[in-house]
Amino acid sequence: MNKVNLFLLTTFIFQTLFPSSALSNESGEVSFSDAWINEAPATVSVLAGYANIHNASDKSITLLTVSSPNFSKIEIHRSVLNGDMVSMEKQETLAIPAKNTIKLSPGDLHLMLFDPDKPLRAGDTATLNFSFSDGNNQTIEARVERRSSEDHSHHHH
Amino acid sequence: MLKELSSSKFLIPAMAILAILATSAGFYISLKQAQQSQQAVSTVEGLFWPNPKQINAYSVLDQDGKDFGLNQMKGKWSFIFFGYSHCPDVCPVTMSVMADSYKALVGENKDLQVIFASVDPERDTPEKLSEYVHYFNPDFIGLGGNNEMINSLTGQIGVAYYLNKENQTEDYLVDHSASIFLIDPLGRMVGKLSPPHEKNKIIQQFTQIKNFINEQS
Repeated sequence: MNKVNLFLLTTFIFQTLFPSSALSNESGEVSFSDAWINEAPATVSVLAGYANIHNASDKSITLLTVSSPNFSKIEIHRSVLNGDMVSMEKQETLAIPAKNTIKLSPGDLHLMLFDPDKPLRAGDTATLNFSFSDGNNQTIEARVERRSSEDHSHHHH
Repeated sequence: MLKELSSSKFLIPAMAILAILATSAGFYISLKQAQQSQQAVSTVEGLFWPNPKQINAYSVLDQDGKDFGLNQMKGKWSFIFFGYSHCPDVCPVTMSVMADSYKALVGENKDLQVIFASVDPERDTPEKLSEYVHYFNPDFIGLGGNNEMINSLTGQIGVAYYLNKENQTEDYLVDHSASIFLIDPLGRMVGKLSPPHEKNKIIQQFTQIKNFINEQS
């Protein structure tokens, strides 16, 4: 076994034994920007949420679950275009690679937000709880917005 | 050397070569011309020409529960998109682009209509469709009824859809077409606008296709 493999194995064992130990920072490794929920007609019971999730650490962190007091359930989906057909693929988890940003944006990765507890209008906010594989949890407020299509295609960063 | 060239020994092959060159040039020029006229058609992105499909009679219900069919398309340019209101990502984004494009186009195109046809009419009742389409623009039309009705339209336009009902009963997802189809005032499917949809692209494609069709008649 070479040195690299030995190092990886040691890291793996440490992380398995001490998942949220001093080896990983308590917080500050994952940060969010531009978290927003697309306003929809009041009769629509499924909304889409978007955000940029940044992992500042030097190891991959996986988003495990998203929950909210404002929605009955939240799933991570990706809109996939196959020829002319679009379908949504549920993602059980979402890896945020080291030193990287995953962008949830229209027509791509998004949060599927089921059954809002009240009709959400532009300007409202909803609470989203994210739990990560490093044991870290983050709660953010996402703003409900009605963005024009130009905003969609320009991808705020 | 010159003397030799002008001698009959070389004259015939030289003339033959010249003749071949001239013929090739002629072929080349006519080929170029053919390509150029082809390009006039093919530079209009998304245009179905020269054989646009004629839409036949169909029968669905609009957002007010009233009959809607080919007659409601005649005399108008129709954008038609197939989706469902429980679709959180692609459909609202597409409808929002359509709303912006419509706003920009309708001033000079009074004969324009935007149709959202639901491939999930079971959940998209006329009331829901009405609220859904009018959220994007009060002029927009929502079509539904039942799957048999919708199939009388999807079958002709050639769009497939699939209700993923195997695992869930309530929150099922639907696979559907992401394209926007363009029907001319004679009820012919003259264009298909492919994703990703952007306002300026839609305006440009629509204007080019409309101008092209108007030039043909």
